[in-house]
Amino acid sequence: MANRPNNLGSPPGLPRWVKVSAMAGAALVLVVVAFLLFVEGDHGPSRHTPGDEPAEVEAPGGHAPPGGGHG
Amino acid sequence: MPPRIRKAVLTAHIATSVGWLGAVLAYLVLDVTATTSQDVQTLRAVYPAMDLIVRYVIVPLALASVLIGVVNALGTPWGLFRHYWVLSKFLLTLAATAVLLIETQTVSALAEQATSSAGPRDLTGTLPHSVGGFLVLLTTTILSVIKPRGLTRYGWRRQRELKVRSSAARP
Repeated sequence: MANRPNNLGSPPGLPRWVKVSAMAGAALVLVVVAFLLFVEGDHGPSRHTPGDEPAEVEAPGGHAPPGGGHG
Repeated sequence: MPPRIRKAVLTAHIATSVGWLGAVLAYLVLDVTATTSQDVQTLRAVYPAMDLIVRYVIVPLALASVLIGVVNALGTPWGLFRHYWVLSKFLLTLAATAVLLIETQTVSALAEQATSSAGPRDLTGTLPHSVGGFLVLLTTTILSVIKPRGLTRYGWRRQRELKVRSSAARP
């Protein structure tokens, strides 16, 4: 798991856990990117909200109905 | 760094980092509720709660964790670029903070939409980001506990310089 301590003058190589983690991380990033490109399509803040609908739907008369229904 | 200050900085680093992980876990529960619930009243309550947790707990803890973590690393023999586990933690934390800062705007927009729109059921939540963030923070916590060995080239050079210096200083 660790790189060997080297007292002879040459720098240590990349530890195995770094190599394995880097490969796993790269594979994960590729999977996520592929998923976003081919399955999900659009990615960004706008994908969380529904379409281009207006935030509030007004009644035809020009006044929105009371929200709570109390009274 | 004097031992007292070093302990204070380390305590602050652990508190902010673990606090960040805990806050993300609380957020994750709300996010799962937001994604799975069909109850309009629940949705109208959950999204603003997510927004509050992100803005007033997660973002401050994340920024504090990064800053205090850098101070902690630079003020101890571990350094910031000498060991692969410290460097990995630093890069993962920076990436998580960057995604978080971008995602903050999305969560605020979701909270606004949930309370103002007619159909909060159409909102999709932020589950991939919160699960990803939680896994990244769990990884950094595990790295902090295990501290897997491995010097970077820079760390190796620094260690060699110190050895040469200490052997030269010996009578």
